[in-house]
Amino acid sequence: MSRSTGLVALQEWEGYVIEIGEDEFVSRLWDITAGAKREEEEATIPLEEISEEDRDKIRLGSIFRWVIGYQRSVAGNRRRVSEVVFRDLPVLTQADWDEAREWAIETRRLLGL
Amino acid sequence: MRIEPDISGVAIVLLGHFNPAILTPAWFAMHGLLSDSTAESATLGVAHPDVTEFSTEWLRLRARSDQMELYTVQAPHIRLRDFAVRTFREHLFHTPLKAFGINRFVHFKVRTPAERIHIGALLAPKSPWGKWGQALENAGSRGGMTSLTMTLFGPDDQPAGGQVNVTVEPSNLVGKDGTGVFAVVNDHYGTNTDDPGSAAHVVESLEANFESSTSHSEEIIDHVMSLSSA
Repeated sequence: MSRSTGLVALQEWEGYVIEIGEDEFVSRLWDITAGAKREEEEATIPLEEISEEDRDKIRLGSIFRWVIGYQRSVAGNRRRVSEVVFRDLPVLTQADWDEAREWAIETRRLLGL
Repeated sequence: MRIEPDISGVAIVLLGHFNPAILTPAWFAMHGLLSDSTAESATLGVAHPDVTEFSTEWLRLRARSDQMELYTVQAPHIRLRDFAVRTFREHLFHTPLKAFGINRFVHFKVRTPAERIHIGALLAPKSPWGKWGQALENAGSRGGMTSLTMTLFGPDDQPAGGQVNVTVEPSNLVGKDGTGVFAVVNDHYGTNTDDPGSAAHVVESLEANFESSTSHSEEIIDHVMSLSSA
């Protein structure tokens, strides 16, 4: 890792995309730093804020983390940074689907449906 | 945390049987676990049957035949968990894994060397040490705590074989004027090594516990920080 000693988060949100425009996207967010468990805010984020390699990940429902914090250089200089990182979440495997289907069937049986 | 760290990160350490030779940036890019641009810009230290080490903008990976460490000092830390889970759930699912640890660490600075000495004095008082303690006291800044680890074996909220180790010591990276403190919480999870599905269980446990573990670790670290003004 580089000439930086890293990005220290002061504030972090998780969000998902609800609308994609030509130059921006709209998202719903919840405050990870405050321990929120459900979305509380909406934000419009310019596409130019997103790294080139993450632009391909922007779809309706895509999940991301938005971090505001300080990046320090090895020389000790500190600058405020805002970074949006789209999450590469594990895909659901066929085994996951099969397990979910079996659970649903069993639950229906137990409920007498 | 009440003091903004100079360095703040997480490491995931996996114990098992690995093939370091394959764990190169190119392999991870081929399987869609790292982007092509990230893999191409990675710094490859060594790629060898016994050890592989490389670093990217946000990830450092070190692998031996019995251990793999994934390390980041770039928020968001959840990215590290996602990377590890995808690697071992989607691709290396036959890898025998027997345990893992989530290590949350920070290097931070207090305002004065006296505050750092005060933290050490609270965590490791000199008075119980009798004459030796008096010698430490008389030595002033030349005597005191240089490293302390507290361990909880078998935490209530973990399967058998787990333990939490918290270590506090002077930082060797920041605050070299006597103000730097390093704190790390090692949250270790064991698993049943005889279980042929051990990789799946380890991955499932890592996925389920990563955020609660780091959150709990941050509470512990924050408390250590509070001692500077206690």
